[in-house]
This record gives sequence, structure tokens and C-alpha cells, in this order.
Amino acid sequence: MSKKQFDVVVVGGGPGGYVAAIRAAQLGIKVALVEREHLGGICLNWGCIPTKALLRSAEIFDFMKHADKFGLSVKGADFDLAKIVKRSRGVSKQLSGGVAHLLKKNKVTVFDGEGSLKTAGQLEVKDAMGATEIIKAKHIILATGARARQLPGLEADGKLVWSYKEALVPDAMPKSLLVVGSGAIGMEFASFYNSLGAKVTVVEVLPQALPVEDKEISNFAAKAFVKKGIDVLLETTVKSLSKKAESVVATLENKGKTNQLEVDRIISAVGVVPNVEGLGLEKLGVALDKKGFIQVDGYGRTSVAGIYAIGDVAGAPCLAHKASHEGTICVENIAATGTAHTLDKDRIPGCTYCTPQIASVGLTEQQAKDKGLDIRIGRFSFAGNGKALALGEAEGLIKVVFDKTTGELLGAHMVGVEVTELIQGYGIAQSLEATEADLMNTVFAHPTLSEMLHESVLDAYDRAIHI
Amino acid sequence: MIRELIMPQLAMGMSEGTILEWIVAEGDYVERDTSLLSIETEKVVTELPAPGKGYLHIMVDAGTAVPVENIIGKLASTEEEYQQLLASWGSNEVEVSAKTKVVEGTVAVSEALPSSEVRQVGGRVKASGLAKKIASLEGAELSTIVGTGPGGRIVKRDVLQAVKTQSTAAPVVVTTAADMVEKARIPLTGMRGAIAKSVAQATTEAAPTSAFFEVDVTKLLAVRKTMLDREEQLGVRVSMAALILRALALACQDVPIANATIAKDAVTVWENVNVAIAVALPGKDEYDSGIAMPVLKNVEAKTVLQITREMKELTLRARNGELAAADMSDHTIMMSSTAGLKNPGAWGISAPVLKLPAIMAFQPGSTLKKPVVIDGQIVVRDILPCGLTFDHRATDGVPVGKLMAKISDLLSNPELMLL
Repeated sequence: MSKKQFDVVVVGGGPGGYVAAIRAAQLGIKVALVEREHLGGICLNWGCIPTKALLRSAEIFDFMKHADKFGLSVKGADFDLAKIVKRSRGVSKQLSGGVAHLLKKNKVTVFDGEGSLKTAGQLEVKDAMGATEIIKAKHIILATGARARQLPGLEADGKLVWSYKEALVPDAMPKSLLVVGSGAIGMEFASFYNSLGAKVTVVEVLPQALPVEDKEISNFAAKAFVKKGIDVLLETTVKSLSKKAESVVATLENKGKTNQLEVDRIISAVGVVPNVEGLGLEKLGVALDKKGFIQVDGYGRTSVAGIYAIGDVAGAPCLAHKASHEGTICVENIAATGTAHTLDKDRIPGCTYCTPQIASVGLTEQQAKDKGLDIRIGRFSFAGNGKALALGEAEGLIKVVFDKTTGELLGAHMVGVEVTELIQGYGIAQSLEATEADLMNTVFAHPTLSEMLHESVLDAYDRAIHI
Repeated sequence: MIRELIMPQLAMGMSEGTILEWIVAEGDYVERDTSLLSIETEKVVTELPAPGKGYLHIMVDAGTAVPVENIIGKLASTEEEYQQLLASWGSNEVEVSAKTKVVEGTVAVSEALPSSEVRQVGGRVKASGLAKKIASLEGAELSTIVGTGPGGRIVKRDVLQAVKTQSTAAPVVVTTAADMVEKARIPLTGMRGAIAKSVAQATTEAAPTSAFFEVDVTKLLAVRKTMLDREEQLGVRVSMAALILRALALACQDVPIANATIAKDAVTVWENVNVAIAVALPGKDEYDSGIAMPVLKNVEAKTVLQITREMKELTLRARNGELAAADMSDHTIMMSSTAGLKNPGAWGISAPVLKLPAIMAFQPGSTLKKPVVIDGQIVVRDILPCGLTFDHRATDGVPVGKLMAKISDLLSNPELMLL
């Protein structure tokens, strides 16, 4: 058993872990990273990235189907599912290789294996062959992420009931599909399979699709989904499943009434649970919160000195960019660079790449009201934007929430084409603590979708030009 | 191209550096990588090379400690640009605040006040737009707040924290005896909180020392009457306060130390006489009251008419709650008149509270007819009682005595104000 000594060891090579490791290396810290499966984590291999690749295929297919709208004709438009999946896997593979290269370039020592805490300062790494070795480090950062939550009775079986993993690599196109959960993951898969011809039904236990989004935006999106042929059943739960050879009969319940729906496949997208098992947390007394996530302070410090946690395992929102930022903050705090600033969780943008896309940052109108804030709301419809009309994408809405007293941009919410790219404008404004005046004084180029960022701010102060 | 030269962060944890020596002289042409100046930090002495070629413009003199990331000079690529730099110097540049020349130990003399909304001797205050807005709404002084944002920038949470601290730090007496009936509770937040903090700071941080004197303003009242008779023609009713402000500004020309501000490491004497004027405002409710302190700028360069008009406008804006941060910044001296407090003489006179960082506060009272002895005869004259407080850390009795004599002389012989 060899013993190796580092300043910092990161457990988990996802967007939290690898960013933390690289930032540590940049600061001259001797750092190692332990990864059990794929560098890049779920995000890059089984999440954010491969779904975007699938959705791109679906989007182009949609363009082909509606080509005549643009004066074009496409005959015999069709798709090859195997090739779509192959392309998606290829993109993941390329990026995973990229992360390996970045780690190497930054002289991060990578251990392939599963990490488990022995004591504070000592991590045991077990490789695929079962061989173990001890790595010593004063600071151990846990970035082990999360995995799909399994509802009792709705456990993924890999054949009829899929988790996101199976849904990413379908071998055949189901004719009908039931998506359980209308969060980001659920709605993205619903969009993808709907575009490629499956009859998709989405069930959501809450009274709102995309429950974390602003209600007005969710309602707007839900109408668009229905228009595309997706059935969205709210306040509905799956009571039981009856599996056949190539289909499942689901019993759905809505306000006490039950009915049955037969579908080829089911995707379970009911959230994630943290990967805290087998890390030796109980032994060391690392405290977990009520939901089972590792409890941390603003710098990722756990209840045990020298043990840190970042990303999904350290609590919601379970987003790659939140993990990366926490990684940077955690490492800069360890290095005492004086540049670490705790993350303001009200300023983390969230994006959903369904059609139409959804993006948001900050407080919803309701959250702002619940906080007792006096607010101003601004809205701008895509129908009033020249670039949107030229793109043939007049369906969409941008909504901003300001603090009436201070002019603080409390939140921004969007639905429509490319809004996942637009949201960054407001993210920067929030981060720099720009007020409404700063946003109004900014020159936005014409003709762009971004002009709507300006118009909706103007509208909040009754100054919109194009309404 | 004009490049800014900033105090670099040479090591982790370095917050400021002292300029030991400018190796290159003002206006000299340098090539890239020529050593421009030497800097001393807690750990090292190092020379900084020029980032390009050009003409050097020095903005912070040797011997000055400068916080990291603050501008210490500029490098102009061409001679024209250098001339432009000189021409614009001191007129409208924010960075001017860094230009304080150290003379005679710790007393610094500046050539111009910055036009920025916020000012800190030796460097400008960096704050987000939102932080500035909240600070102005809450009446918090940005220069007293420590920024925790990137590069020490003051962000929203810092201002909220400061407001919270100042409201909780003030003593709150809660009586719990059973027969005590609470009538009202005024939270020490917002304007009340800001006043509480400001006056407490002025008595705990400063070394306030007060003096009282009386001025015979019989002639001044006659002069004012002449002006009041022409109210229609002048378009404005000349106020007593405006005449007193004029006298105060002129007195400051004779006794410059009266018009100064104090910081941790230096007292800065200002050319501009910017007077913070206390304006009484209604409070949050019937039990509360308030004060705003708009600043009348460059009083030394203004006529009595201009002062009257601007005071009226500032007072009106203060009462309507329309003062911007810029209207309340950069004061160099304070005046708080008690003449408006009901019947003349009802208030008497008191020691005004300092408005830091200004080191002098002047309080004219209400004019009162009093018997005085002139040439062995008892005569009735109009007497203005005055109170004055100065920060003894910054100056001493002799200059303050001179100031009082000068104010007295100007107010009792108003024709001297024509000079």
C-alpha cells in the first residue's frame, strides 16, 4: 500500500470537481482528483451535453418539417435514431477527453477509482480491480454529485421504465411515452421525443409545469407544449404500473379520479438524490441536512475540519455551473487568496432546452411578493421584436422583476428561442449589481433578440418603445 | 492612447503600497520597461516598469500610501495626449481624489475636490450601482463601509450589513416594568439610524471642543433691510443665513484650517468651501424628527444672491426628499442655524455636533436685542449668539480663536465683505 501526499484531493471529476482541481493547480496547490467512472461527470457524459446534442437533431428535424414556412422544400425528411445517438455520444466522448487533457495540462494527478474517507486527511481509493491505496491531503473536497431519484413502484428497469441514462441512448423510437416529472430533465426529453414523432404525455404532481419557474412563464410554455401535441397533466400522480412485454399501462390519479394510459416507454425524471453512500461520512461525523445532502457553509466547509463538499452533493440547485462556482470558491478559500466570495444562490441562472426554451435567474414574481418586496414588473413579447420575426420565432416572452425602491433587478424569466443564451445579460447585470438605470443606459445592438432585454426593462418603468 | 498606471497587487494579502520615489519626472518620455517608480510594501521594495512608451503624468506623489488598484499616474502615448491630460487635470476627473500632496508632516493640501459622488482621502470608493442607491436611500456613508465584493468593491450586502450594524449598535432601552405603557417605538433605521450613527461617531471618534461668542449684527441687519426693500427687484428675499454663510466662507480664506476634513492618516485642507447645511425634516411619524445635510458647494466663489437661491433650492429638495447622493457629498465644513427654532432666544445657543469628516461646525443662533456697553454708554444692539465646535485632533485653540474673531469682524462690519 503506497502513500501519497497532496495539499488538496478532490473526489469526483464532474463540473464541480474538475474545475476545483484546475483552479487549485492554477494557485500552485499540489492537487489530485479521484474519479470512478468518467471525467466530466454526469453533466458531460449523461446530462447537460449529450441531451443538447440530441435536442439539436430534433430542432433541425423540426426545421425540415416546417421548411415551407421559409419558402424551402424538403422532401422525404426522416431521421436515423442510431446516428442521432451516435453523434450525441461522440460529443460527450470528445469533451470527456478534453477534460482529461485540461487536467493533465494543469498537472493534476488523476486517480481512477472510488474514494472513501478513512480519517480527516486520509482518503482510500479503490480501483476497478479492487486494489486500494491511501492518499493523504490536508483538504479533501467531496464533489460526488447526485443521481436520479427512484420513486417506489417507478424504479427504472432499463427496458420499459427509463432513467435519463436509458433515455439518452434509445435503440428504437417509442410510439408513445410517459414522462413523469415536468422539471428541466423531463421537459427536455419530452421535447426531443415529441419532435421525433412519439406521442408524449407529461405528468406533474404540482399544479404548475416547470414548477421552479415563474408561473406566467410556465403557463406560457405549457400552452406551447400542448400546441406541439404534448399532453401535460398537472396535479397528477402515477399510482401504479402494469408492465407488458413491450408496453406499460400506467394508472394515473388526478384529484381523486383515476384513469389508465398505455405507453411504450416511461421516463422517470423526478429529481435527484445526492451520492453520499460509501464515502465514510458517518464514521467521520460529517453532518447531512434534512434532505440528505452534505451540510456546508458558504465556502463548502462541512462540519468536519478539512472536509469540504461542493456541487450537487452539497445541496440544491443541482446545476453544473453552480458546482463549478462552488469549486472555485472552495479552493480559493482554502488557498486564502482573499478573492473567495460566497455564492448568492438568488443569482444562479437556470436553463431548460425544451422547445420553446426556458431561462431564468433570480426571484420569480411570486417569490418577490412572498418576501414582502415592493416590485415593478416589465414584459416584452417576442412578437414585438424584429429579429424574432425574421427568424420565424414570434412565440416568446421576457419578464423582469425589479425592486421598486432600489431599482435592483430581482429576477428575470424568459421563454422562447435562444433565451438560454440571452439570460447571461441579466446574470452579468445582477452580478455587477446594476440598477434599472444602468440597464436602460446600455446600448443593445439592433436587430437582435437581446434588444428584448432592454425593452422589458423599459417596460417595467413604463418606457417601452415597441409596445 | 492614455494608459492608467495603478498600484499593483504584488502579493497575496497586499492591500496598499507606498510610493518611495518617482524615478521618472513628470512629463518625461520613457520607453517600454523603463523603471518608472519604486514601491514599498510590507514585504518588499520593488521597481515598476513602464507598460509601454510615452509621457509620464504623476498623480500621486512620493511618500503616499495608495491602496491596490488605485490609479497613481497615467502614461500618454503622444505629446498632445499629455497636454490634454494636463488640461483636464483637476476639472472633472474622478481620480483627482488620489492627488493629495503631503506637506509638513501629516497635513495634506489638495488642489481640487473630486466631482465623484463618493470620496475617500487617498483613493476613491468603489461601489456597485445598487450599493450606491441603497446607501443613499438609507443615509449610509459609503466611505465608512468596507467592501467585500471583487477588488474590495462595496456591494449590496455590505451596505445592508452596515445599516444593520448601525441600527443594532445604538443603545435601545426597553423598560419592562408592568406599569410602563409604550407610546411609540422609533426604529433606529433609515434617517434616524443615520443621524444616530453620525452624531455618535462625532462625539466618540472626534475630540469635539466648543466655544461660544456673541456678534453685534446691528449694521448687518440694516444692510439686510436694504436688500429686503429691493426684494422684488432682486427676485429673492435675501436670507440672514446667506449673509452668514458668505462671512463664514470669507473667514475660511483667512483661516484655511477651518475648512478641512480629517481621515485616519491626514487632515486635508480644501480650497473649496463646501458647507453642509442642516435642514430640519419631519420624521417617520409624529414622534420622530429628522435632519438632512445638503451641501452648498463652492460658497467661497458665490455671491449672497447665489447663496440665497441655491440654499432655497437645496432646502426645498431636502424637504421633498429629492436630494441625490451628490447633493450630500464632499462637505468641508458644517453650519447648523437655530434661528428657525420658534421665538428668537428660545433656544439660546448650544455646541453644534460635528459632521465628520469636516473638523468644524458653526452654529449661528437667533438675533436678540440686548443692552451692551459702547463708549461707556449702555445701548440696545442686535446681538447674534454663536456656537462653534472643532475637532481638536485636527487643530488647536489659536487658529479657532482667529476664526471666531474674523467671523465676528465680518458680521459686525458687513462692508468688509465687499472687499
